[in-house]
Amino acid sequence: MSTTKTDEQTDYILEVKGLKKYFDVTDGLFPSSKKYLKAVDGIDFKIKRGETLGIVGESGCGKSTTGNLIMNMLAPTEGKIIFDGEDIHSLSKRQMREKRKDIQMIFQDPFSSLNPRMKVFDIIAEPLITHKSSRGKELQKEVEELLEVVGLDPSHAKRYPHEFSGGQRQRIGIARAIALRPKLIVCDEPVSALDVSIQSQILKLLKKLQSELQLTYIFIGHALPAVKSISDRIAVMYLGKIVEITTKEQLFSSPMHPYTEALISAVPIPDPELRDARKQIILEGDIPSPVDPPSGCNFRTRCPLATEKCKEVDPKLLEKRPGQWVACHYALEHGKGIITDDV
Amino acid sequence: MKQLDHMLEVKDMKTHFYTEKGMIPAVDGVSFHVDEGELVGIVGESGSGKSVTALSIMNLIEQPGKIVDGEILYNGEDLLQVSEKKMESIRGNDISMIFQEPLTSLNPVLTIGKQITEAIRAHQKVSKKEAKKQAIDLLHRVRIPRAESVYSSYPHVLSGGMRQRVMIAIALSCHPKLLIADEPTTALDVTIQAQIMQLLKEISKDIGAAIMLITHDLGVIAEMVDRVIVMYGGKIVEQTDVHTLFKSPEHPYTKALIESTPRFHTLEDEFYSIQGSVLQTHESIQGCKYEPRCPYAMDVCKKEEPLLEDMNEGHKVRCWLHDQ
Amino acid sequence: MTVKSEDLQTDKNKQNKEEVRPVTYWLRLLLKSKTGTLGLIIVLIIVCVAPLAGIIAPHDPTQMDATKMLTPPAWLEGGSMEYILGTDNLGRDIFSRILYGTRISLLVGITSVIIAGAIGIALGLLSGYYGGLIDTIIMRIVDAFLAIPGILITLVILSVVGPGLWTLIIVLGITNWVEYTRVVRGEVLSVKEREYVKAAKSIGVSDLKIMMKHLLPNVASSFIVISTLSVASTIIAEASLSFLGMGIQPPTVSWGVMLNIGKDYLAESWWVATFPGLAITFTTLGIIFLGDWLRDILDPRTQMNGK
Repeated sequence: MSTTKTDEQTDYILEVKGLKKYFDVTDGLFPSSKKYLKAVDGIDFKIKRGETLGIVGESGCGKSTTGNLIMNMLAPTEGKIIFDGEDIHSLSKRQMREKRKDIQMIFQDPFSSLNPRMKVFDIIAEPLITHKSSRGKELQKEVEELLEVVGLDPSHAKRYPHEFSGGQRQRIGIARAIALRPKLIVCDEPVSALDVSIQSQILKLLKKLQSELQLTYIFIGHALPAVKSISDRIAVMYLGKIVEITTKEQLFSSPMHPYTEALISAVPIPDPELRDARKQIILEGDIPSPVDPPSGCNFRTRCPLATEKCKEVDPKLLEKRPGQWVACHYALEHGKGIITDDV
Repeated sequence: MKQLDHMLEVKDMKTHFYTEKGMIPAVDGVSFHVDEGELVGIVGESGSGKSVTALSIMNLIEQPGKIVDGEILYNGEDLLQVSEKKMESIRGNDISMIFQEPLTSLNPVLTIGKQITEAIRAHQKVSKKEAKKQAIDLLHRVRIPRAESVYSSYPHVLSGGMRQRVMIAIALSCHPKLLIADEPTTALDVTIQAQIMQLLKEISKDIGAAIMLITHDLGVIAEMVDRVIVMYGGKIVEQTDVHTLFKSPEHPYTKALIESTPRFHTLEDEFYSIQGSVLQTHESIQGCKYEPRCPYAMDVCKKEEPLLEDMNEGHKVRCWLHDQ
Repeated sequence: MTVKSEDLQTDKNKQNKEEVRPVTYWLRLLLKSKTGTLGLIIVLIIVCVAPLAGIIAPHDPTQMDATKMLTPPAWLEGGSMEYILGTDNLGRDIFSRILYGTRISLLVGITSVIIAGAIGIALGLLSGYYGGLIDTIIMRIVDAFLAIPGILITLVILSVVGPGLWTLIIVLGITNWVEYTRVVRGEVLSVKEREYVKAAKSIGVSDLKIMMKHLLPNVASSFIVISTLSVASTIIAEASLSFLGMGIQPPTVSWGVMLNIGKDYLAESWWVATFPGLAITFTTLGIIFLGDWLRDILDPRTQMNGK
């Protein structure tokens, strides 16, 4: 731990402050006013070294945009992303190239994330060659080791991606992501394109790598079960905002935001005995468009608790319980989570 | 005879695909039945042949695929023998299908209303006015708010969930006896998925249609259906009622599938995973298709494929472990 | 049951062999298409004839013989086996001239396509990958080129600079890049959204490398097809310009020049113009057949349907 920095700074590997990303979607030749798609609309969170933060939400909630902003694939409209004490969007091109070693990404679609015209060896060697960290025999050895670490046969290096199944391809993508020994990996829905039985293999692998390589993960997903199984803390996003962020245990045993509660309740439970026993909360209507979000609280159009106040005042993300931050005027007093330990 | 009681009975159906890379037995001898008003689920991972089974029943298999063997009896009549014209009338009037991606199943240049009334008028002789009334009725029935304005709008302005509702409305337009839903909620968000599932349940109750639900998600199966068919590598490996399936699964694949589904409703995190990946269907093997991934594999499993055998009342399993 | 599984086993082996030797696999695909095979045979013949013209040709293509002017082809009255396809107005052997003509056609066709391709692909990559202002500028230039008929620009440049072989090649090159730019840009726009391009960026791979290693190989199939087809259209362009007297100049032998000569004798000595015309037709047809076949096998969508 560095002595010049305060404890608070060293504790966190990543801090996101007031992050906003608006896309200009003004159309027409002579628009009367500018229109923006508010993909990410002012979010704050911190990630401790070695922990996994899950970001969960439905389409249009801004979770993937958040990932792309952290990867510096997009420039934020407003706000800061502080990685290891430095704002990554203020770095020069060369500094950023260096920084890329520390932040890597695992992608959703194992079929589009690997260049079909490159052999597995070249795919995994690319980060090592780009950063000139090894070459020749050493490079060969390193790639083979990486393949073994992710559970593939080193002899597979000579093959092309199309010869592998989805799960194996995802392993190749993981090998590429860990090749430079990054500190933080942004996992953008890494299992949602895979079959259930393969999903758990990949999640297991990610957990194993996390403890072996002291990785910090941001795990973005739309499926709560996968996010739950890997995360320490979870942020729930809705229409560009974080509506609740807390530890996994708190979130599932006593969710405080009505959206979190509905989201958890909407997940089908693989147990037919519970089918009629539980009362499922089914939200009315559709997710509004992020181009034209509702006034006040974003969620009020679908919220069973909405009042006049929600129409006018946008609730702030506040710590309603120790470690549980919620953006709701009427946070649920007694979480009615579906977690039942006696099952 | 008992057989005639089943509304739909599929007997030893085989659908094979003839590609450059050789023959792929996507569905390889599948037999099951669906009774009136029943909710049957077919579960399996990609490549298990579950979707091809559905398309085969609708006789919608296209080149290079072909139904090479078997019978599909609908009320005793073999759908593989009827004329294309008869099949067309069955497809609308008796059996309807909804797909995973509602956007590609709707014509982008026609209004929603036009597409629903077209479906109505294709099978019923009604005036345009009557068809419109029925169409708006249907839109109400699938719980679409502002049905009148949706009636005159185009598919692209609707959300995924709304489009799926429209697809269901079109499927219901001719009061089908059987609705085949192929991954109807996979492309949708969780909260929207819950809405659509509830809608399907209500519909089956309201109009008494049987639903054949095809999915990879055991959660959806557990929430929706009465009876489950588990498919692996183009074959049925287990078939029983939903409660038995989850309480005492017998086939190692079913067990693994249930185990690997995250225990979402409890706090424990340990999850089990099946070794290996789903077989590419053309990598055929002599014995049991699941043998390479099966932790209980025995010598006999490599050599010969087990038959789908009755364990007890209605519970069928294809596994050598249950041969004794 | 067992018997059937064995069948499948052999099927699988066959498929493995194909994967090991892609050339045989492609050749098998080619032989399945009749027009593709025909195209390949024609193209192979032309490609072999061009360098070997000096050996195969029975006569010097420029050798004149005042006694043998306008001799008809061998099978007509007055024809002789010495001049299989007859002679032209100066008594030169048409068959030999056609053989030599392949050289010019291929030279012009291939070289100018390489020039056009290099310009077009580079601009298409830049335009598609960077977007923004670069894209706007390049696309406006493309629009400008599309708005003016290519043949007009060609004629203007040729009449200002003066006709000649290399002028012709360069002019045909710089007037034909537009199609590559448009197609490559379109493909790049879709390919650059693939996650492997994002992955390369997140690793810190330089833009140039991303374009060369990740984009170019994945848009190759589209411009290989255009290139093939535009070799054919360039051969026709060369012939047309030479016919108009703006392209290849005599005494260089070219099919277009032969057509130009033949046009004056169409009524009494039809063979002078007809045989070079047929040579052009067969060559371009062969290339187009080959190009169509390439399109079919390089496009995964048609590959799926192609039984």
